[in-house]
Amino acid sequence: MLEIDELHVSYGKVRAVRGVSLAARPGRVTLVLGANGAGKTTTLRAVMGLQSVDSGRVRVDGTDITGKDTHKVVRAGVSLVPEGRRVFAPLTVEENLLLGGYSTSATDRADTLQKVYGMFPILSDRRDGAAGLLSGGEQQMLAFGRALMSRSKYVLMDEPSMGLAPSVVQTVLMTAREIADSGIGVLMVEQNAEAGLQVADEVVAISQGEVGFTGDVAAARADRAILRAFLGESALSN
Amino acid sequence: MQELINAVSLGCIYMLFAMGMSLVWGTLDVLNFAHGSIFMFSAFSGFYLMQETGNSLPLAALLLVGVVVGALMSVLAYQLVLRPILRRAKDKDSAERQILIGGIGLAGIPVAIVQIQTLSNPFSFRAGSFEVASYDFLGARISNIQIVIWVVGVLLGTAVVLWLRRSRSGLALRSIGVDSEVASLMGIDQGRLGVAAMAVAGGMAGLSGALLCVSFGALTAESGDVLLLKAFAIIILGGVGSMLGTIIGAFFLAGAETLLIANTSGTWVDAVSFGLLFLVLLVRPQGILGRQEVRRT
Amino acid sequence: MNKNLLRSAGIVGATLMTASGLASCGGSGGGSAAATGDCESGLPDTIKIVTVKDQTGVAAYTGTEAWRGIQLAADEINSGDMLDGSKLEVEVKDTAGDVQTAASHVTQAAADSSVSAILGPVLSDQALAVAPIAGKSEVPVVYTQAGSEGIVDEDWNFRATPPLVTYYPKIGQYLEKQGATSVNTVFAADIPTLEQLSHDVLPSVGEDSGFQVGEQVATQSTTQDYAGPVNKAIADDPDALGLLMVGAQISSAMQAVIQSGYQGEVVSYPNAAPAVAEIGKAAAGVTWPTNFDSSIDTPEVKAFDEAYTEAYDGTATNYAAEGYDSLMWVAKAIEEEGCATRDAIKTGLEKVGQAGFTGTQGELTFEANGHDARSDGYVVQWDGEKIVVLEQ
Ligand SMILES: Nc1ncnc2c1ncn2[C@@H]1O[C@H](COP(=O)(O)OP(=O)(O)OP(=O)(O)O)[C@@H](O)[C@H]1O
Ligand SMILES: [Mg+2]
Repeated sequence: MLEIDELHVSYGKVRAVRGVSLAARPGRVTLVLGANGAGKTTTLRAVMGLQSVDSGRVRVDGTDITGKDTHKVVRAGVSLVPEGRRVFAPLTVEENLLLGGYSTSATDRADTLQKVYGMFPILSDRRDGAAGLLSGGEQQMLAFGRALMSRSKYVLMDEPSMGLAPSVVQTVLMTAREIADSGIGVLMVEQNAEAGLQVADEVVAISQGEVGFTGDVAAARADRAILRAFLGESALSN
Repeated sequence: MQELINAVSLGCIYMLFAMGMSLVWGTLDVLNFAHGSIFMFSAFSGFYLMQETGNSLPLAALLLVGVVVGALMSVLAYQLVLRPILRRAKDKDSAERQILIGGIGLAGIPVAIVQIQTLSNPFSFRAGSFEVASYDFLGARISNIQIVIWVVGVLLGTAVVLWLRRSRSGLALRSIGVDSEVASLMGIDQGRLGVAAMAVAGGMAGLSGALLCVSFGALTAESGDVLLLKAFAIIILGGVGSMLGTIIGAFFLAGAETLLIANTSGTWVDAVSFGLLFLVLLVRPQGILGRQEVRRT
Repeated sequence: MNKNLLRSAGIVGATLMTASGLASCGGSGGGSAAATGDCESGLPDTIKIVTVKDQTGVAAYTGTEAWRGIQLAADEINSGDMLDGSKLEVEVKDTAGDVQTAASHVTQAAADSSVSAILGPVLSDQALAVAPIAGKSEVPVVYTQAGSEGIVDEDWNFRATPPLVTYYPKIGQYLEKQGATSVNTVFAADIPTLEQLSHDVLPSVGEDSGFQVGEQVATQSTTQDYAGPVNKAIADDPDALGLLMVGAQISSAMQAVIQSGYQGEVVSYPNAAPAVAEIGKAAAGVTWPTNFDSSIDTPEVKAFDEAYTEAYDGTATNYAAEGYDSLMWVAKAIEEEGCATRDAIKTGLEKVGQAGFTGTQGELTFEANGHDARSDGYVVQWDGEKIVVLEQ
């Protein structure tokens, strides 16, 4: 289990995350909902060691990784699909994937690469092309593939559907589900609540740096506050 | 023919010097203004040891001293000054500015030491342990030291290109150059790779310092400065971050300079090479082989 | 004649302006003590002479060597009781390669009425800044090196080093003996003196000595690779090749000549001395005219070289010899007038200059009314191990 326990993070005087606790479990998708500026990205970055933590703990299967250097967090089995995908645009698709497997052994890398190509045939077709020339959806697939290459037990995803056409959003989120089904714990931040709820197992809602709701999808769909905040008034009237 | 031989030798030296600078600039965002003084101080260390040992060091030992001293200085500069600056800086722009200033400050220290030690006189590896000799080669003259420069240049140039292109750590370095934060998300330890890159860069600077000191006969405390400016032109010409571009830039500048000297009054050499630099900045700001998106200017 | 010229021309105007500014606020000396009193009472117990020369920075070598020569001269004057019981007291101020610093040291020394005379800086840009201060505050300044024009135009300014261009023609005798009819050069075009040597002095010497100057390859003080320039200069296989550049460049140019396989004569100028010594055997045969060499066979040089070796190890340099001669000139002036006021020293310097004297630089004569040294010079050659004198 990836456990985030009473996490506090601030930017100077701005206290962006105030006592957030949540967890990701192998084989399950934990959906994190929250308005703009709620502190979702900050939470994920703090887990990865990209942002220093004021207090609180982050544990991976019992091992404390709070405040560790990013590359050590990755070695501990956690990887992040960053907000906006951030593929290495000038590098080839295959180079991007190989970088994802940077900390694994050469044979593992070769094996996983074949698996990822099997999962995303488009990446295989475009393996020698520059990653920056892929479409948005394809780049998201590459970002997923890159995270999978690390053989992490937990994959954090920051708004994977952002900026994608509605038709592609479904595919991307289904892919997130498949990743979880392969035994990986997925912690997914998603603004598109409706689409997110369709693939999620558990839901955490954050507002202004604090957790407002934790529960399973059914409970979330029954929660009026969540409905109002994330699914719109129309959902409420149903 | 003679011009060609001279241009290739000069190009090799420019290349060895500029490649290291380009490497760390393109990957670690370190535009190291101390590169020139590292180059000079490595050669000076060879000179110093030479004096201490009664002029008995063979050429290979001098080159080795150059590499080791250069690598050490470069790594120290990175660990003690440049890396802390990179870490602490708020954003990329202020990081670049501070790195520049830090580098210029650092550069002053070895220069001052050597100025004091030599009273600003030229220093050179005294003759005795090896002789510079020259031979006829296809109707022109080529010297033994030029042959060494060619061999070292070709070997190292290829090695660095292959390293960056083919190896896992080379790929990792290139990814740092594209997006260092995401690179760390790939599990890349930037501290270690940074040290490795700085060591390679410094080692190459030191090697070119020792080679140049033999080939040109002498260096002064300020010799690094002139070369630094040329390397700057070469890297801009080739495109920041492109090793092949840097190599092409080095030989292009060496060729242009040699041709200019052969065909015009030599006074124009600097004016034309830097004119060329402006032209590139105007017409093709990313350099000959640079990435399309320009990240730095 | 070397680093002093490095930065001369372009900044002259600017330095003159700063200098006059400083001079006006520095006051005009005056006062009462030894240096400005009258001569009725004879020589004072101590006569204070301030040396203002680079001890650090780009011209540190030139400046420290000159200071060595000055100290040797002071010891000799004081221990030989040359000034009738009166002692010279010399001290040094470091200009650190900086024009402003030089100007302010001279201004201070001029304002100190106990200072009788100043031994001025070695770099031309500093000397040009100092000269008007000397004129305004009426204190005699004797330079070494500082070869630019205009420095001794101003009254109260004296120069103990004959400018390179004045004794360079001596090389004609050597080239004529070698039967050279064609001479090419590689020179630093941004250094006025060297440009003058290549463009004016050598061609006019050639008219008397039977050679023609052909290809003259211009380089810059930033040039590092000399393979190309040398290559171009030897393309038509001239009888002799002139190498006229500064510092490390002269080594680089020589190295390039050696690598090129060129077999003709190589001539240069005094800056070649350290370069040939570094290169060793391969540089054998390089020849140049000079105002001083420690192997010159005169009693003055022998005595000076011995004293130098005893005090500092190594052999005496031309810079030290010039420093020595400059203080000797001042001492002779004081002796001549029997008085150590600034006025008397100025008059004495002129008288001694007009008469000429023999120093470590040989027989010195003076132009510009006794202000500016001249000598015939010598021609010396590196034989692969040491410098030998060819024409004396
Ligand atoms: N680098 C920063 N410096 C200062 N404040 C920041 C910084 N990054 C984020 N913040 C602030 O911290 C708070 C949380 O930001 P965060 O990016 O974590 O929100 P988010 O939930 O990911 O929002 P979004 O849905 O818009 O991505 C916001 O108030 C934001 O303005
Ligand atoms: Mg966010």
